[in-house]
Amino acid sequence: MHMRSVLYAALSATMWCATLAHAQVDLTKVPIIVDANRQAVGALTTFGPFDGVLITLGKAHAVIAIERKRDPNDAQLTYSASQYQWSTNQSLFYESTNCSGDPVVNTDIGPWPAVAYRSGNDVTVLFARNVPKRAITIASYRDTPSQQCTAYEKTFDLQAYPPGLKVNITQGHPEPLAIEY
Amino acid sequence: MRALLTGVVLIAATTFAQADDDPPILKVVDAQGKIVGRLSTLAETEGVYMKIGDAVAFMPIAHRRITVNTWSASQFEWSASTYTAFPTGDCSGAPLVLYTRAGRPVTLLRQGGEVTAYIAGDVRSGASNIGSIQSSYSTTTCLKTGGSGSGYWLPQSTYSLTQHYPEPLSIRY
Repeated sequence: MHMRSVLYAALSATMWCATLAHAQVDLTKVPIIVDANRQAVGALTTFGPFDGVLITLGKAHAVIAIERKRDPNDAQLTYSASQYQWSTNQSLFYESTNCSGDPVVNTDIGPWPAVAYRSGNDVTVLFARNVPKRAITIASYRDTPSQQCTAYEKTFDLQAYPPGLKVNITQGHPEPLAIEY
Repeated sequence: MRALLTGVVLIAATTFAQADDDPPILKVVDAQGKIVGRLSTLAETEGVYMKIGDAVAFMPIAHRRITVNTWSASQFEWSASTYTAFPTGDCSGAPLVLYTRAGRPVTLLRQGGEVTAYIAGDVRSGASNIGSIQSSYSTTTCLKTGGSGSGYWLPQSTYSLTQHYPEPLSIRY
């Protein structure tokens, strides 16, 4: 009799828990960005105008935005409904006259200011150096789709952060990206 | 037996105490107090991510509109688009699904008290003829147009948000 009571109590408790778990939404679940191999890259995060993944390097954190994958050969707006890629800067600005060295970080959003740029299949996140933003004299720019470097005939000042540390975010995490939940 | 029950109650109490120690999660709940999901943000809009079939879709919410220019401070509703494009000439049938930032593209359409999510299939967006545009800012009107647009999806499935989660919605810990 005692044994049966124990079993009954245990069974009731289990059933009660199972019902509760089923009725409730799993609040621990968040959408996850995964790479081409369905390996998790990070949680889908929002900061200011950016929706993407929080990339961390040491003490620096920045949300790097994702965008819907487009067919580059298609003039029409044909976006994928399920595939994404890193949203990267098209133009990069350099202090050097030949795009040598790292570009400057001309953004304030991050939280730690950072720019993402593309070179072939590689996407690099470049964080700002931990110094105040200042006027930096720009002597050349690179168009990233073509990788072409152009020297400015006349240099100009751009409010930006000097470049700091960088990380390749496609290494081990090939595009296209997708969202799993 | 009583001791055993006390034990079960104690275990339950401990579990809840542990849950209380976790950082609180802001939740969206429906009119009946049922949890819709975790309050999330996409494209600077608040809402809830849902898995419908194989699609992860973001369903936006907004402060509940009481009159044309007044909104509730504490009550929320499913945020249907102000402008909805239709392939038909009279705003009838299924609307076109517009570009969204992330998740499966979805367009929310409000018809009376009903809000339906029109969900794109897993296909690329394309060009479509737009026969009419429904404007629903203050009054619902159907504007006839003759034109084509690109970057649209045809809906593949629908999900009644108000049937599953009746309004008004609210946000709580």
